[in-house]
Amino acid sequence: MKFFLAAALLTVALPAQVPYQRILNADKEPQNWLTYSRTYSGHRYSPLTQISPANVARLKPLWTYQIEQMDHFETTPIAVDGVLYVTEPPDAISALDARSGRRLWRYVRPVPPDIQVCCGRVNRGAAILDNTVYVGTLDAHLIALNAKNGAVEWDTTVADYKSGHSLTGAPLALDRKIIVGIAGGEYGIRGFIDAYDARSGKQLWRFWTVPAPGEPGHPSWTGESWQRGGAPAWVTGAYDPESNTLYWGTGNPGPDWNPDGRQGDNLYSCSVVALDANTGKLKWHFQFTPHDSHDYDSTEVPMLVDGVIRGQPRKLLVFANRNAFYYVLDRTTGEFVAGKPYAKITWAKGLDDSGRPQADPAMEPSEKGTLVWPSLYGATNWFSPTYSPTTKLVYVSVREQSSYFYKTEAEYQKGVMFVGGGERAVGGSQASGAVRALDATTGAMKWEFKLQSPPWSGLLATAGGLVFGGSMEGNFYALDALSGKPLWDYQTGAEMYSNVMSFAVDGQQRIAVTSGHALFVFGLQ
Amino acid sequence: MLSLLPVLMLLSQAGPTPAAPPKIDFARAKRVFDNSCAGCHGPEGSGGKGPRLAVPKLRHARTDDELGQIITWGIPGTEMPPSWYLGADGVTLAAAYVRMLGANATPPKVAGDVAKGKELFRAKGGCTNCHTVGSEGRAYGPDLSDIGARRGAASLRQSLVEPAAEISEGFVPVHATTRQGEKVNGIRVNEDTFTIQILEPSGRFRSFRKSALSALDERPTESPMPSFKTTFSENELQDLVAYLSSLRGVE
Repeated sequence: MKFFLAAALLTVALPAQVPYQRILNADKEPQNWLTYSRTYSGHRYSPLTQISPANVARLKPLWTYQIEQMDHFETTPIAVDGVLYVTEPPDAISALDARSGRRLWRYVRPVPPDIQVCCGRVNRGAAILDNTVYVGTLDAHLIALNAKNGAVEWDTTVADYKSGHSLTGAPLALDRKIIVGIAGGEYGIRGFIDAYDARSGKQLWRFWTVPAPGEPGHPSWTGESWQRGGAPAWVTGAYDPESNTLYWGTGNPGPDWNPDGRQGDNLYSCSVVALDANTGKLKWHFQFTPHDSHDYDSTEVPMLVDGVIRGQPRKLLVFANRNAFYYVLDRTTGEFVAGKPYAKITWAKGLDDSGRPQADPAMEPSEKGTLVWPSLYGATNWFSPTYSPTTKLVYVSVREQSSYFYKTEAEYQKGVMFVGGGERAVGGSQASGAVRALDATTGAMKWEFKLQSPPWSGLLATAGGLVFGGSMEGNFYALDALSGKPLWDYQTGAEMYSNVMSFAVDGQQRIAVTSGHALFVFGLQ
Repeated sequence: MLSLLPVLMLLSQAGPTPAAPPKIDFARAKRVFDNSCAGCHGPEGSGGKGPRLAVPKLRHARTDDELGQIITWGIPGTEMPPSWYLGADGVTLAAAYVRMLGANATPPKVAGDVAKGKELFRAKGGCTNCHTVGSEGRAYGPDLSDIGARRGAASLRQSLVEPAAEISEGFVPVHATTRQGEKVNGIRVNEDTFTIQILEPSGRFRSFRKSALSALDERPTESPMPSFKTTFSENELQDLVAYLSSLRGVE
């Protein structure tokens, strides 16, 4: 009997592979990449130093993994102790041997034929906690999988996919809980950010990004418009363990381009919200684009940076917004500290002292089309910026493009696009791209590296002194983090909708990026 | 959450039951057409930078379904842009208007002598030195095998007398100088952030790392084609336009 008890205890008490403490102290293990942006601070910065300006010319592709699916491959792999967890479109996740690229297991979820996903059947990544991998699905479920074999541990319905809800972003694993933000802002949903118990899948709290009648912020909507108000939350946020605060960006109000039925600021759309991670209660919010009519989602990654402002050390949150402004906020209070455009902008004339944009009414979408910078896709988008604590610079993948914005009627029908217009982008030689290095605390541009066309690729800064990124012409490249000088590039052969990450295996640094329908892993040779 | 639209509208509009054909408000349909289509396809679809739409049969849109798809998504690889922003309703109106124009179409009469135009094209104009028509000609400028199906007569005429007035996006003359001092002129065939591929008038493809060039001058608003305004008489221009209008590609 004693023997059996001991055996049972052993099975139950299997040590957790990735306890919360490991993610919290991610800087102690630079060879791994344990959460979407590597650390809770959202920096997408690798402390690995092996690959440097001195040797990056020797960087070569070591292996390639192909998904054999047509949809965009936008994932950031999670790297844990020699294994990569890679989400694949439309709805799958594979565990790969980080040394060879060979698959260890794969979980494929059937996609319901009546799925509604406005902008591509994509998945941007997974989360890991203890011995479990977490992934959101296109049909708006959160699934927990055994990290060793992909077996389903639990499956929780987050929302009804038939009304246009979906999960495309990487979940965020905190202490004993998993955070997800909903997608579906083009279907007249009411947005939210949820926390689930990591062991049971039971919902712990929900923060509605559109307040109900009687709640603060509700008067920023007219009539019943709040019920279809949008404000989704489809890109993974940041977390400050010291104050136990979650910072998360929110998307457009609905309908996107016809705001007539939703007079007011439309809180908390196009904002960053600071939430108590235990309760989901709002600590503060900052709205970047009040009463948005261009679909300038604030679903970009917030970065937590400590800096000195006018001689005073401050805990900051910096944010390169799709609306073409760069913002510096106090992350304790939400106070606006600084802000300025980092790309061409015509929809607003500037920011006032409180950081509120001075929107130009002549730039509203119209029946005949209104030419506005930036385009619908924004000056940047979901793909990540990066911050290097070494250079104190924020690096942003910038889209320089304009669009004609159109306004049409909008009528809500369940599961049907509820947008009230759209855009026609101006392309060709009138559009371009760039990587820009900004002073983190002021937004002042230090250098730029020009790209042939507006990119869809995020950036990675490394302690080795490099910034990696991709282009729509398939160029994967490395820049000198101090000067922006191009030091290396490789033609991957497809459009890059990607986010770059780095890990190490056998003590050797690797750089991983998706391009087209393949994951490329590079190393020195 | 529009992060990428390509997959967008169709998914949302693939409703389970096709409704009865909607009653079309042609006043509204005309407004949609005038706002979104006439800019390139000409008033009442008479043709311009984009093909004439007042024709009984459209090459890319034989069925109404195909027409709706093309209006929604554009035609990749051409200058026909997507117009998903019109919404299902707007696309239906635009498509109905285009069909109405087609039903009422009278065959476009392009004045001029096609046979004479063909001769002028080959001989006096020397057009085949740069343009292909079927298996004839040198591939340097745009292929003209189906130019009559793609452009209206007025637009063709304008290109003959003022070639730079309307240049196809992506057809960019470049002047490059290598670090060794070699000058390379031609048409940009492809380009990325680090490299460029150039077609020389001789027909030779060149490829360079941009870092190997000391100068790279791209002139997207220029055309390497000379104006034929003084080369041809008024009647000759008319014959050439008639010939070009007759080029409909491989049917």
